[in-house]
Order: sequence, then structure tokens, then C-alpha cells
Amino acid sequence: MPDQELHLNRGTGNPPNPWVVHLQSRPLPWFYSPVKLRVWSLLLFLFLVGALWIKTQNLFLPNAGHYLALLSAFMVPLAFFNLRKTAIGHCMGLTVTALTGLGLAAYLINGHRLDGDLEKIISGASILALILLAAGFKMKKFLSPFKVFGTGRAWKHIHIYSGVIALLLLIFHINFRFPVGLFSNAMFYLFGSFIVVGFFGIYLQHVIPMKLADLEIEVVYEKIPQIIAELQERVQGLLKKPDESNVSPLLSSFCKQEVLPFFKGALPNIQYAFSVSSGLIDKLHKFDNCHQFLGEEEQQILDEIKKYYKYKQKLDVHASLQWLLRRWLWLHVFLACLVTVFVTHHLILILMY
Amino acid sequence: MPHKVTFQDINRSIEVPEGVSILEAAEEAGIDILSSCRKGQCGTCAIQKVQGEISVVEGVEVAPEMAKKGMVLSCASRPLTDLVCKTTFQEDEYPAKVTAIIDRTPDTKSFHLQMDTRDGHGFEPGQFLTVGPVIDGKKQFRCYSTSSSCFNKDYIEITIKRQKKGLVSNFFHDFVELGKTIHVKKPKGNFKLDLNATTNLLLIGSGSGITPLISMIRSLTEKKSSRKINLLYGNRSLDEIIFHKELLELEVANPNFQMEIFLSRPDSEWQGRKGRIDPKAIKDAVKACEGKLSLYTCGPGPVMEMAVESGKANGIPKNDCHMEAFAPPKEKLPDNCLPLERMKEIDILGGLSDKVLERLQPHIMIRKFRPREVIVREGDFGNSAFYILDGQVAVHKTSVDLIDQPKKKPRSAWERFKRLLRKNPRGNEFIAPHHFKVTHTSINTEGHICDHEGKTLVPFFIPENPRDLEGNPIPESKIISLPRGEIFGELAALFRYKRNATVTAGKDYCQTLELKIQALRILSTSNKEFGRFIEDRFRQRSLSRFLKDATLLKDCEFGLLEMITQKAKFHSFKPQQIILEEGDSNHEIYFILSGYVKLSQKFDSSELNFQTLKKGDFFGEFSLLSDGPSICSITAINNVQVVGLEKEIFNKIMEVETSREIIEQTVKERTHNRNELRTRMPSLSLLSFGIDHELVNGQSIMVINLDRCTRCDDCVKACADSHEGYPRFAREGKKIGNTLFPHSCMHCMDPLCMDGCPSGALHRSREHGEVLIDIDVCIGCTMCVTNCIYDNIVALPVAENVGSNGDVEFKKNPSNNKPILKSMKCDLCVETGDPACVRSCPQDAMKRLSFNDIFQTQI
Repeated sequence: MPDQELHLNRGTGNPPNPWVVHLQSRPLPWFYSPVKLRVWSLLLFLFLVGALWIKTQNLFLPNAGHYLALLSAFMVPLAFFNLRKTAIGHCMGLTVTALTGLGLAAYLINGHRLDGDLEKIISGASILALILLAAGFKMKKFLSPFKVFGTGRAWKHIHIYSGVIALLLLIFHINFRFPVGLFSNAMFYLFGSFIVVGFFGIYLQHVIPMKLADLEIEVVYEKIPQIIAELQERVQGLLKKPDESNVSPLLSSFCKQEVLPFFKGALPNIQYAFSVSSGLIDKLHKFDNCHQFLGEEEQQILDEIKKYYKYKQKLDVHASLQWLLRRWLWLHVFLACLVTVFVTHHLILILMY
Repeated sequence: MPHKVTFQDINRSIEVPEGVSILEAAEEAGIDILSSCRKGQCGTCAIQKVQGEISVVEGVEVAPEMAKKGMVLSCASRPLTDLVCKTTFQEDEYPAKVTAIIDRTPDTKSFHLQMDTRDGHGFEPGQFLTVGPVIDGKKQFRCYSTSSSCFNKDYIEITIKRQKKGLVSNFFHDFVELGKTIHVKKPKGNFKLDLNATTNLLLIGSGSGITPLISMIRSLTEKKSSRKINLLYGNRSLDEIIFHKELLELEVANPNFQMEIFLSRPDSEWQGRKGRIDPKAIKDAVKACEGKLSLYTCGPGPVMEMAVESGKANGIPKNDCHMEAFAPPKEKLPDNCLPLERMKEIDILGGLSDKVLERLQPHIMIRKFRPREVIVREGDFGNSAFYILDGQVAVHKTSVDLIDQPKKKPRSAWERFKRLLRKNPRGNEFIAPHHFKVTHTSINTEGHICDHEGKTLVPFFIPENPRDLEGNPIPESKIISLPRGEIFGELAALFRYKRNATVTAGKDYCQTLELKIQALRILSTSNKEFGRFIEDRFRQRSLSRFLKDATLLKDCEFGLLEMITQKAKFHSFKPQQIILEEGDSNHEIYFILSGYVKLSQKFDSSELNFQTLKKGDFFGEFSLLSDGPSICSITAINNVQVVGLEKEIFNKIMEVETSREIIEQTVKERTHNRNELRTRMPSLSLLSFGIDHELVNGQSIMVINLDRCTRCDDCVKACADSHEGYPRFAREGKKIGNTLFPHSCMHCMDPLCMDGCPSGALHRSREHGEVLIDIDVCIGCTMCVTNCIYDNIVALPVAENVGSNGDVEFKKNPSNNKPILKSMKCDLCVETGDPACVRSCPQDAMKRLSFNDIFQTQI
């Protein structure tokens, strides 16, 4: 009898699943804690002051490697103390980035550098390898039925931190100076904006889901037009009385001006990214104004329409924010394609000349 | 002796066996007679008798003027001689114009019908109207209760709830527009309120059963009657309450009217009564009413039966208890079902009334097995028992290596990759014919699944010289032969555990009577002898094993276990039945054999659920230990079976050290849970949500953390890619706060979908117990889709051709000309053992968890 239960079923006596704890307690990220933020900002400030002090005291001549070592050394405890329990993927990603930074720093501090061209070939090839590794995230999505390729979450971290390390290597590749020439400049800024858009995406993916989760409804993006059409039908149905007579001119004109255009389709608005109830109170106020001039029967109709109006506004929020989440990705992919074209051209030039 | 009945108007003759109604015989012969209540109450099945004699069921009468015209009710009439009839009684039909359509709930609409003649608008509150819209060129008659006041002479209002497979209800919802003309017959029906009577009224309704009741309330309100009206109205959720606004208005308009609305799945803002209407609520309502009382009830059968029983138990005279007589059309009986006369000859069914046999009929069937054909497999989870009618069966005590059993080999990675490239890009709309085997399957009269040519499909046999799993021959001594008259498989079905032996037909053909779980439940309650037989069987065969597995009793001596086995008492509880009420004393400790119960406590004005218990858990220990009242209420969530042990045995158990420690620890934990109620509100509201939505059954519930989900749908795409393009879930479902429970199979402990799968396509995997559908074997009966209360199974049509413009032509079953369907549901990616949806989520927003993991985590 006991083996009727699935292998993954567990009893009540087990410790709570951390994922469920996170789900129910909804913890904020570590940097939302003012104390932690102050402590780590202070530590960063002390690091920077220390670096400046070393430079002013002429204890030794610091180069880029020293600053990189300092920053990398700061990142490891930052990741370890704040992320090891809540975001192990980011903790590992930051640690690997910091270790790469330390490796580069050691090379730069050491002073025994390879031939300039060889150094550029090695760093360039590494950047290319990292870009390909990051692009593997998309490949993994295509091969999602195969367990052997690991989890989407692991690949997301590989994607993010291979991009970050590639940026680090790019800075090393261009020898910590702005590049010279139109093509090099274009490629540098393109790569930079590609990475910045990536970081912006991480921010959006962190903030927008929480805003959407707080709404009472959850909808699939593709179904929004269909739901709005149904709502529109219902509102139009309410404006026809059971005996086929029309509602009063006041209610009718109010609906024509304020309500029916609202139900024509999804009305995405970037304002919703800042406040999910943006403009709603003003719009509902118009309902209240109209309400006082209507008879009892039409007041009920208006209340019903108001209910649909609020619902539609939530659909608009979903349409806007889900649109943002999708369009950001398009921009990121578009920039990735451009970077690929530039890198290929860059490679051809190197191989040819 | 059978009599010949000739239907003159359609030029058909049938033979009606003795004791069978004309309606039943006509349906068997494929003659379409419109019917509704099937109890001689509604008059829908009226036919015209031209010649011959009939006997009518006692208590059924037709109006004298109708009888003069030859009207007889076919459901309540049996021929005494050969008869000549006409299939319809020519009643006058009136054209009625739809003058208004009012949305009541998302799936319920009211229609105002205005006839040319005002006489047609006359009716008595509670009666029904027969409407006959023309659908696909054929007039389809259905009866709907009136919901307007009988004093309204301008129109008649009927209220129609959309039914999943309702031909007419869907027609009304989708195609009936204002101004459309529909033919109707004059309102009629015996469920009606006498407006001149003076008794107070207790009205009990559930769901769309409110329609005749609101007609009564509206009529009495308009009449300004001084009769007191008390309405108990049950619904699932707030948005499903039909006439909510109107009822609230009526409460204001009529000072003599009061109501209580019960919601079984209320949201957090609901202030009214929670749960279902139960005998206690009816008792309280009867107590609250003064003077002489009449009861009117309309709704699902069990609710009406419970209401009438409770009304009678609380002193309402039998004649004053009125029940609406509508019943759904009789289920089409399987081809191989037994006629009542044959059923009476079987000793296990002997002595049962016709009414009970009729209830049993759809749930039993004859199954014939060839020599050595496997009847039940060890390790499977079945929902039926088998009674041997003829021949012998062989029970294999040792595990048999069924080498001839068709096994599906897991596909290689390369094969899976090829299928990925050849996936159906429109997999959420239809099934590509080359992806699965499609046969026009059905069950033949011998109980075998066969194709359209009648050729039997996929039987499998035990080898001639069976071997055990280690390859050693199984000696004859290890095979038990069961003769005619024996029953097997009943305990596994009733108590929902896996089959513990493989049973095959003997050396000759064997004929069995397959009794589905519903039949077993009916038999256990209606035949005391059978109930005792099941109890004794369970006591002999399974209870000792169950007790041995129970953690609480693991160190008890053999003598004590033996004593428990002998003295244990069996109790069954229906869903929502209170087993133990807070403050009451109990004299037994209970062990759950099957089902789920919830523990709750009164907290201020509401009842808070704080824990659920499942099979193998125990309760009632606190009261026994303290000799005081129970500290919490214990309620059955679904059908629950328990064994109770008296205090004397409990004291003996307490003498065993480990058992005492477990009980003390349990008491400590439950007391702690109870004391911490105030601080655990968020997780408790989640627990109540889980119980209200009956997720307690889930072993692998899909949960999405919406705080993390970026709505990228990678999970759905991964699921589709893993299944040739057919996604097995939708990213929409039930939401509470930041948690979404999408429509995805939960692989229930007690899978309702498996009840009645005729082809055996639905099964549990041997390895881990996942509930799976063998899509090749599925015959698309959609039984599982209907049975799954969570809407987690979908049926997709099989495409024949896809046109260049994207239009799809579906493959049709020649027998009924309807598209061939295949059921699909989540299989937990059993091939890889790791669900692709969870694995592919880049945000770690999705998990598959058991009920306990999600809902009983104490945070």
C-alpha cells in the first residue's frame, strides 16, 4: 500500500522546502535591506579609499591589475555572504567572474606579458567562446526535452556571467583604453549596449513579475484580445435593456465617450511599469460623477460596467508589462545578431590580414 | 411474456419484455422519445396510445382530459397486451419570441419568451416550460423551469445554465438572439406551489436548481403573501450564484423572505456560510421556522434526497416535502450490460430491489476472457472487482514475468530528436494522424475492446509455463484456482490500493461480471450482507497488513494486532460529513483506510482548517487521552473509510512504548499547530485554498511562483517539445496571491479519471505510480475528461487532412460521424523521469510538489 504514493511525495515531518518558504514568505533581495546596503557600500568606499591612499602614498605603482584585483576581492565576500543561501546561481556566477578577474589581475600585476598580438588573439578567442557559450542558452531551449543538457536556470546563469566575463575580457582586449577607428568604436559601443540591455532585462525580469503577481488576475498574453472582446460584448449587452429600449442619454453618452473606446482593444501604457493603478482613480472618479445623476436601475448598470472597467484595466496592465518583457528580449536578440555580424567581420579581417 | 409495441407514426415495432417500461424498450431499440424525469412526474415522455392495454406505475396519473386523448407516460407504462402507439403526444405548440436575454453568471442566462397568445403565459410557480428549438434541422425538445413570477403575463422567463455537452443549452447560449422565435409547449409539471395554501416554506436549492424556487419567491412577493419563506441556496463560488442580486433585492422587498447562501469554494472576502448544505443546516432552518412547514427542493439528486430525508427527519410531513423530478437522460448502458432479469439470477445481486439494480446497471458488465488471458495485473491500480460467472480463474501468488505483455521500450535519444524535428506545430489544436495509432474502437458484446471490424485488440496472455521475475518456473502450488461464484479485486478497488496478484483466466474460457467501484459502493450500502462480506474480507486479508504497515503499531505484539483485527469497527463517511465535532467526546481512535480528512477549529466567527490527514494517519487520540472533548473538528474531504478502535484497545496500544511516544508526539504537534493558528494565517489561508479546491488528492501539483515567473512560456514550449508538439498543460489555472496552480495533472493518490476508462488506456506506472494515458490505446470516450474534476485532461480531435489554408478536416468515427478524439494529460515526462517544464524554467519559478509540501509547510 505505501508505494501507491509517488516517489516524490513527502510527509509533514520533513523540513520545509526552501522553494516553498520563498514562495510564501516573499523575501526581498539582500540590497533592499538598508543595513546590508550601508555596510557593503561602506566596505566598497573603504576599498576605494584604500586604493587611492596606496596611489597617493607611492608605496608602489598600481596598474589596472591592482584595481581589478581589489574589485574582484570585494566581489567574492559580497556574493558569499549575501547570496549563498538565497541565490546560489548568482553567488557562483559572481565568484567565477571574480576569480577570472583575479586571474587577469595577477597577469597584469606580474608584468611578464605575452606578445601583444598573441595576447589579443587569446583574449579575442576567449570572448568569442564566451559569446558562443551564452548563445547556448537558446540552443538549450530548443533541446529542452533532453535532460542531459541541464536546467534552464543553470543556463540562465551561464548566459549572464559568460556575458559579464566577456565584457571584462573585452576591456582587457582593448587594453583598458577606448578603441580607435570607426569600426572598432562601433563594435565596442554595440557590445556595451548589448550588455547594458542584458542587465536592464535582468532588472525587468526581477521587478515586473512581482507587479503582475500582485494583480488579482493572471492571463496568458495571447488571450488578452479575446478576453477584451468578451468584456466589450458584455458591456454592450448591459447598455441594452431587457425590453430592447436604450438606456438614458446621459449613461449612453458617458459610455460612448469614456467606456466603449476603452474596450476597443488592449491599451498598453508604459506608465503601468511605474504604477499598476496609473490613472485609474481619475477614470473611476468620472464614473462617480455620472453615478449621481442616474436612476437606481441605471446606477446598478453603471456599477456593473465599472467592475468590467477595472478588470479591463488589469488586462491592460498585463498587456503592457508582458509586452515589455517580450520586447526587451527582442531588442537583446537584435543587438546580439548585430554583435555577431561585427565579430564575424572582425574575425575575417584578422584572418585575412 | 414480451409484448409487441408498434409506433404507427414512424412505422417501427419493438418487443417490450415483461416488467420493462415502453420508454426503456424504445431507447434500447434506438427510438427517440423525449424524456426528462423518468418518474412519471414531468409528462415529457408522453406518447399517444391508439390501441391496447397498459399498466401504469402506482401513483402516476395524467389529467383526465389528456387521458381521454390517449396520452400515456411512456416511462411509467408497461404493456399488458400488444400496443399501437404514436411516439409523440400531439400537444399544441406556440411560437414564442425572445424579448430579452439577461446574463446571470458567466455560464447562465435568462431568456424572456413572449408568446402571441397571452393564455400561454399562465403557469403555477415551480412548473417547467418545454422549448423546442430547431437544431441541425431537427426539433430538439427540452424542459426548463420557469423563473419569473406567475403573475407576470407579459412573458415567461426561463434560465439556462450552459452544460458541457448540452446540445440545447449551448444552442441557447451561442445562437439564440433577441427577436428569435422558438416553439414552446404550455408550462406543466407537478412540482408546483399552491399559492392559496398557508404553510410557511423552506426552499432548498443548489446551483441552477434555484430557477423554480425564485419563481415561487417572486410570485409570493408579488402577491404580498404573509407566508414565511426560508431559502437555503448552495453554490460553489461567488460568481456562480445565479440571481444573487435579485435574491438580495427580494430579501429587502419581502420582509417574510430570508435566505442563507452556502459556498463550497468561497474566496477570502465571503462573509456568508461556507461549505455545503448539510442535514445540520436543514435542521437549524426547520427549527428557525415557525408553524406548519412545506419543503420544496430542486438541484442535484443527492442534494434533493438529503433535503427531503432531513426535512422528514425534522418533522415535515412526507406529503409536504416536494422534490423537483428532473433527472438527466438515462445513461446509455454498455452493450454488454445485463438486463434486470438476468441480474436477479446472480446470487450476489439476489434480493435487491429493482431500483437498486437499475442504479447498478450502468456500473456492471459482462467480461469474457480467453484461456490464460490476464484479467488483472499485479501492481496495477484498478477500480473494479470481478465476480466469476463461469469457468475458473488463476491467482498467481508470486510475481509473474509477463514476457508476452506488450511493453513500450523507452525511445532512444536519436528517436526523440527525430520526433522533435517532426513535431506538430499546432499540437494544441489537433492531433496529427501519424503520431498515434487511431482505430475506431469500441467494446463488443463479449467485453473485449475491438476495432471497427469487430477484431479484438490487445489482449495479453500469461505464458504457458509461467516464470517468476527471477526466471524460475512457478509451481502449480503457488497458483490458486478460484471457482465460479468467487469475487476478487474488490478490496483493491474499494480501498484504492494496487492489485497484489496477477489474475488470469483458467485453462478454459472464463466469464466474469465486472463490478465498477460505484457498483461496489452501492452494493455495500444497499446489501448489508455484502457490506459485512467486504468488511470480513478486509479484516481477513488486508487489515493485518495495513496495521503492520502503520507506524503507530509497528512494535505491537502479534496478539494485540490480532485483537485489533478482530475488534476493529468500520465506518464510512461522505464528502463534507463531520466525523468528530469540536467539543464532542469520542470513544474510539480512528485510522484512515482511504480518503482524506481535515482538522479545523473555530476561531472567532470562522472555522480555520489547520491540517489534513490521509490514508494511514490516525485521529481521535486527544479526546481519549484527556477523557475530555475533542479540541478540533474533523471532517471528511471526500469519501472516507476508517477503522475505529475502542478505548480498551487504545489503552493497550498506549502500553507499547514506541506507540505511546508516537501518540504523545502527535498530540504535541497537533496542539502546537492549533496554538499557533494566529501566527500562521498566510499558510493557513493557503491550506484552506488547497482543501476547498480539493487539491489534497495531488501528489505532484504544478505550482508557479508568480513573483519569479516572467511569463516566457518556456515551460509550455518545453512540454510541447517533449511530446511531439502537444503541450500537456496550460499556464492558466487557480491563483491565490503570488501562487498559480495551472491546469496540469496532479497524479492524484485516488485518481478519479481512472474510474470507468473502458479501454484501460489510463493506468498507473509500475515504477513510481504516475497516472498515464496510453494514447495509442485511448478510444476517445472522454470519460476521463469528464471525471477529472480539476479540468486537467483535454481531448483533442484527430486530423484527417490539413489544407494549405490551414483548415483542418477531422477524422470521423463512422459509427457516430463525430470526430475521433484522444485524451491527453501530463505524464510527468515519465520517459526521462524529470518533468521538462520544471527543468526548462530559467527563473526557478515552477515546481512539482505534493500537497503536504505546499500546503502543510508551517511558516
